[in-house]
Amino acid sequence: MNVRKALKRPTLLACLCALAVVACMVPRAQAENTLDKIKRTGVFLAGVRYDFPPVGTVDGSGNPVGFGPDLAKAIADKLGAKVQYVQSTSANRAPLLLNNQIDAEIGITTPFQSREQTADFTIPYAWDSTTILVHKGDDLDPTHYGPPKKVATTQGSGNVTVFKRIVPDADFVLFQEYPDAFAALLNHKVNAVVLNRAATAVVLKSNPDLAVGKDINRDVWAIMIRQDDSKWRNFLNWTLQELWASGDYQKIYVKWFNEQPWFPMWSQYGLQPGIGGALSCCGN
Amino acid sequence: MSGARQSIRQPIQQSTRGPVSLRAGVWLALALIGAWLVRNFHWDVVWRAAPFLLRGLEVSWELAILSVLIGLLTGTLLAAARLYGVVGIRHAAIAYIELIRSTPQIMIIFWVYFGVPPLTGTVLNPWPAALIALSLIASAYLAEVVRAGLLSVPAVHRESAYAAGLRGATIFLHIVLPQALRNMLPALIAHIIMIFKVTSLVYLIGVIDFFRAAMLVNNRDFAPYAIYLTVALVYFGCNFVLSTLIRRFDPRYTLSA
Amino acid sequence: MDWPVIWQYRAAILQGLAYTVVISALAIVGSFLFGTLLGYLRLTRHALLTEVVNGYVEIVRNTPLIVKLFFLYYIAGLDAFPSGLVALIVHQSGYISDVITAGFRSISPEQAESGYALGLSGRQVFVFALLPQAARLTIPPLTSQFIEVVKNSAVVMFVGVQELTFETQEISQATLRSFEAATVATLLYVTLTSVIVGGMTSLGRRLRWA
Repeated sequence: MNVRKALKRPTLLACLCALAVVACMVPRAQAENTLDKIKRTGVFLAGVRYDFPPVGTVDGSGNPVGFGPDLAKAIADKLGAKVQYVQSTSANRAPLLLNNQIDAEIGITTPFQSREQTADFTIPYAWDSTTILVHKGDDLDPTHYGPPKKVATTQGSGNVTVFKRIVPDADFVLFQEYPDAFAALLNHKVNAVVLNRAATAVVLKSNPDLAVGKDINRDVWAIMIRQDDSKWRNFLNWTLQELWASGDYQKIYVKWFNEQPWFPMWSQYGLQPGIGGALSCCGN
Repeated sequence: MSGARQSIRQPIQQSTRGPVSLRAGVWLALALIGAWLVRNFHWDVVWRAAPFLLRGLEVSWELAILSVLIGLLTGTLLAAARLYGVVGIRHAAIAYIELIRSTPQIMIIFWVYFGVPPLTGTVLNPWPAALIALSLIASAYLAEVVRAGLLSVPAVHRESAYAAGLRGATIFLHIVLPQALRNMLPALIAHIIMIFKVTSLVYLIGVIDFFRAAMLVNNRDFAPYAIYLTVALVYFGCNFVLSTLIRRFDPRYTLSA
Repeated sequence: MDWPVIWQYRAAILQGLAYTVVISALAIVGSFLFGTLLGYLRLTRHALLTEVVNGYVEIVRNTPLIVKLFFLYYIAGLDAFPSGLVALIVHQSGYISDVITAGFRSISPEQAESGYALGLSGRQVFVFALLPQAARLTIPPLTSQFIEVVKNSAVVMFVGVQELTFETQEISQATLRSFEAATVATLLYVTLTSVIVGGMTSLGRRLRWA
């Protein structure tokens, strides 16, 4: 028997044994609800983006700044706790949440129904729109970007689903980061980049020969939290509305987006009855 | 044909290198031409982000050196298990080493950070997870390096020590290990280079090493050419320094496993 | 543990595996050929040639693979798959050339000299005396290099090639089953490397006739 071959067998054997052991393990049950945990530890673990200005980016010293971090700070102040920022990416935001490494993700996560199978969402906390980025002079209508034209976006983004609704046979090239997609557009590897309007500001600054196309849809962002945690979800929903009622939300929004929010919080007819003492809708 | 006959007939010890000044001159000329070609890149972005990038570089080096140290310790244990251990332990060590060396490093990092916490119920922060993953990788590779080093010490040394009355652990610690460490120094530095390159993969779990720092700056200010060229130059610089160190210890060393 | 959900994505996994296998196989062949060429060039006595090859290998070995990939894709303008393939070949050939050079250099000179003493020509000495011995010496390090190619093949996902690691991320983001997805992918990678090790070992056994 070839000794080399015999030595290789333990590897697969070890893998299978490890799998068997692991498959028998049960996942840890969720013990405490988040609101109590934060009140106890005094720390609010906020997942924020480091790679998506103006919702979340880093300053010169590497500290997270942006709309998300500021909002997280405001929420922490309401809790009477300290905020601790944890970097979240499209790839790790869900595992971070499920492994209790963050208490809430305040980023650019769209509350797709499919995502609600494994996580819960608050009410929408901001709205943006999905659009395309193209070269100046190119067609601005997103529906004209089916094959043989190529479109780019990042892996794990909801933009794929959104774009496929209007162009079902779209030919996507998926990158890991938006700047890679921008570079692909600039080098004519793809004809358009599907992205949030908020993400266009950065690249337009240094590349004025690009143009933003027509909006495809309204893209909504919500705060992502663990499932079946109603006390925490209620708290976040009410806090968002209270910040809106007091004007703090608008101040933070203007600071990062340079315009007043063009969307309402909770409903265009008013906030949730009970917030700030209001009893019902429609102007009362 | 006679030229080939000449080249194979003589033993080739060192590559023939021309005078140092000529080589330095050629490289300098190439560097200046290169600098002129890239003068239009957005270097101001890199300049402004320099402190952040340097912090990232610090993190990369920290992770690399710490994981190599931990990997060296555990690698030595693994190598000892593989060389001197009983049947079960020996095969466990081999299985572990082969498993880690067959898996893409990005998978190992993915595993340690995403896969293990749901099972054990612990919470793992990115930096410790990165360190653990890199140490696992380093230990598997360094186990082989240590094993080669231990095997490179002639058996006669061990036997004479035994004849002189010394026993097991003393022989290992005072006779075999020092010589082995000296012999494996080039391979060790080569693996530091390798681990240093692997640290760039910790972007996946959010640790801000040099590569991730560069990517974040690119996300914020969008200057891909300048940033990626800076990344290339910095990595080249660090690796070149390390490989020169290798060459000082053993000119004929090559990175073969 | 939710394994059935991974089964639903088997088409994606197989597609990713196909990309990985194809690009790894091509890169292994390409880097072996190119690396052998570079290694051989370094054995000749031409000082300038050796210098150029040394400089090239130095640059290639000290720069990260992903930088080479981006250079080929964005600056040189190749398509995604070709740029990934060329980057892998260029990267690994730097290491393989060192392996080849070391392999030939470690054959003691008496081998060649006995060949000449027996009346063999330069080419006959090379093919019948040196090559088999060098092949036997270089098979273990070459095996590791080929395994490195398979592991490095994941980098092509940065330019959009949807290989195995890309699909693993896709599945874990869609289903949040990162553990199961990562396990399946790891098993597939280990299988690939075992195939390479097995192939190289049997190749080494067949060369023992020398």
